[in-house]
Amino acid sequence: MARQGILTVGEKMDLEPFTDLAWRSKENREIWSQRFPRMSKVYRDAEIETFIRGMRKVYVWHLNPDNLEKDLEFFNANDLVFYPQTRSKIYEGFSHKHISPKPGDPQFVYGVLVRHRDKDLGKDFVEASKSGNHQRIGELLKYPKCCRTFFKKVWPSSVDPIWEAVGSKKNSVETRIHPYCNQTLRYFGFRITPHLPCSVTCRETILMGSKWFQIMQGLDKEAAYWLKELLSLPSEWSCLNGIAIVKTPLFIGITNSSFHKTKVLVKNLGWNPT
Amino acid sequence: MILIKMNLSCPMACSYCYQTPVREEGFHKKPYDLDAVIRTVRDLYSKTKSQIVVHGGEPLSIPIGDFERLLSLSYELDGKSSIQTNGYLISEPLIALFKKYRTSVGVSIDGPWPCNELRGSGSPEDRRAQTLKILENIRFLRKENIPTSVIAVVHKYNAVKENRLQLLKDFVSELELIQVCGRLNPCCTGNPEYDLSQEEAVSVYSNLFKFMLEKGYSSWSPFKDVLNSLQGKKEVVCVFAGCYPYATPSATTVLYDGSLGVCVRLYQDDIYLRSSKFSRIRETVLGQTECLDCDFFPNCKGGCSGMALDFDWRHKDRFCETYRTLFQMARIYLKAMGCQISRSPPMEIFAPGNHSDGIQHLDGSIRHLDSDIGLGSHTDGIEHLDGETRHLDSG
Repeated sequence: MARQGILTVGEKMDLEPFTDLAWRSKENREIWSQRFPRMSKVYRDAEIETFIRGMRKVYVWHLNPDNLEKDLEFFNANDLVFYPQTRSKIYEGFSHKHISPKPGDPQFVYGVLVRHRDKDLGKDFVEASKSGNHQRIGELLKYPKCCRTFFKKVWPSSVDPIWEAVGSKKNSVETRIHPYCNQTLRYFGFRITPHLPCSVTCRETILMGSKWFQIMQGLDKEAAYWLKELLSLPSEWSCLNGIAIVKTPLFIGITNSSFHKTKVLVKNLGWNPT
Repeated sequence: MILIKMNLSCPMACSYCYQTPVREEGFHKKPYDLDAVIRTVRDLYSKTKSQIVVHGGEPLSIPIGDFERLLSLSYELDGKSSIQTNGYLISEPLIALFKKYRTSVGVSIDGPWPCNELRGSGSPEDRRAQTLKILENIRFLRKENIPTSVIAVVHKYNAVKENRLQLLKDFVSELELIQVCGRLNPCCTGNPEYDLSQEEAVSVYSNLFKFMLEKGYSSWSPFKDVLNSLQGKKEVVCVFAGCYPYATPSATTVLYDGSLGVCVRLYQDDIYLRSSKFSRIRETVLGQTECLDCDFFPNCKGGCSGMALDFDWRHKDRFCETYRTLFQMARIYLKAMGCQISRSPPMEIFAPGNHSDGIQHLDGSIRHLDSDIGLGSHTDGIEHLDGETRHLDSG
């Protein structure tokens, strides 16, 4: 069967989550591979911090059986309730779907954390997830309304809507992606905001990103700067046959992505990080 | 295979060379660090036991002392050595080195003059003289019992223009007489002045395959690989082995500063270091998209990443139709000969067992060690010295 345009997830292709990274030079690798763990950690820590500070009442949590004691201590110390939703095989990078584990597979429990007093929101989230109500899920996670609407429009025909966020009908497009809206490297752990923005310069996302970035600076100023620097670099994101290639001046990243039969290309001219 | 690329400079700088885009990036102007290269080769060899090839650019263009250190290193590690050269600079002192270090020599030449007119430097008269000299050197190598093979690139100038295909076939026959075999690689520059069109490639390669079958020449790639693959043998060229473009285990390059790169065919305007992983992602994608309905996908696995359509490895090989035609011909031939067509061609040539680092290993049934030289003992199907016959897969 000939394929046209974008496929629906699972319609024809089935790729497991996959990421890889090839460095441009030894020098880049020596400098940046040391920074990467702190860069992805500062984002993860900021994500939790926004929840602990009450900026968001719901937080998606991956409960790893190997860290069970530590996780339960954290829940107890913060008066949190965990609502489990599904088990998933542990995958590389970032995934747009959960993979049912086979017995013995390394796995985690996907679920949602709320404060004890917000238990109803936890139930609400579980219900919304079951019924596929992404608008409500996004609302509970405090994602901007414009981006929730965008998500509803593109998902799931495009699981990695980078090209769609540029808003061009051309297959090859040149633009400048604001670092707070830059989700091209999220599969590798690099992002400043948690959601898929409706545009590469979404005002609401930039506002949200400013707050999140402030928190990151408080947690690890240096790592926050590196993260912003990386997400501000000129880059090229292209997608074809379910694989996205992200070319940055430092490395080439490869990941599973949307299923474009014809190659789409976004040339990001970069952003001044200051 | 470990390809040592001290630099990519070559006095010939042939117009269609697949390394030209990398040269344009200034790669070849960087000074090499011989000690770093040697450290990397030692480390890689200890893990892989892969054949070491002094490659280039032109390996004979580096200072002879450095060149000898590389041959000596390979000999020390592997008991033999190997180079891929344009063949012009072969000399008696070099022959002495080749004997000392058990060197097998791969020569890049596209046939006799004028088939070879795209290769070389200077005026047509200069290039003609260079071609004659290289042919003379091949005979010299064989006279001195140096294992020798040839990589010929097949393009419009040796396979289409003025009935030159016959000259190319005569060239193959002459080489067979002196026990030289090799590869007939399709030219892939993206320039239609050189590259065979789809129709031309199908016609030329079908013609060459018939010729090989009629003459009984069994050692020329890609034809032997097509036959091997259909018979379920693992001795197939990397093109049919399933390529991961960020690791290319059949062609791990050691670059001028000792860093590890991938097959240079993958470098267009993007030079990158080798990934530490191996993945079957390309096969997985092509098997669900462009190659979905193809009978021969298990045999070719989408072909060469570096020769993919639009030079984008997410596409299948641009010579898909050619390979499909060869597989169809081979299937009929094998059937007529009463040979069994394998229903389960080799799928796990690289990255066997639990390895995910993209490096070939000594690993159970997938063995990558050249200590036991002899046709049939190899299971990786790539590059070997089999007595007097050299099988090198690169260039």
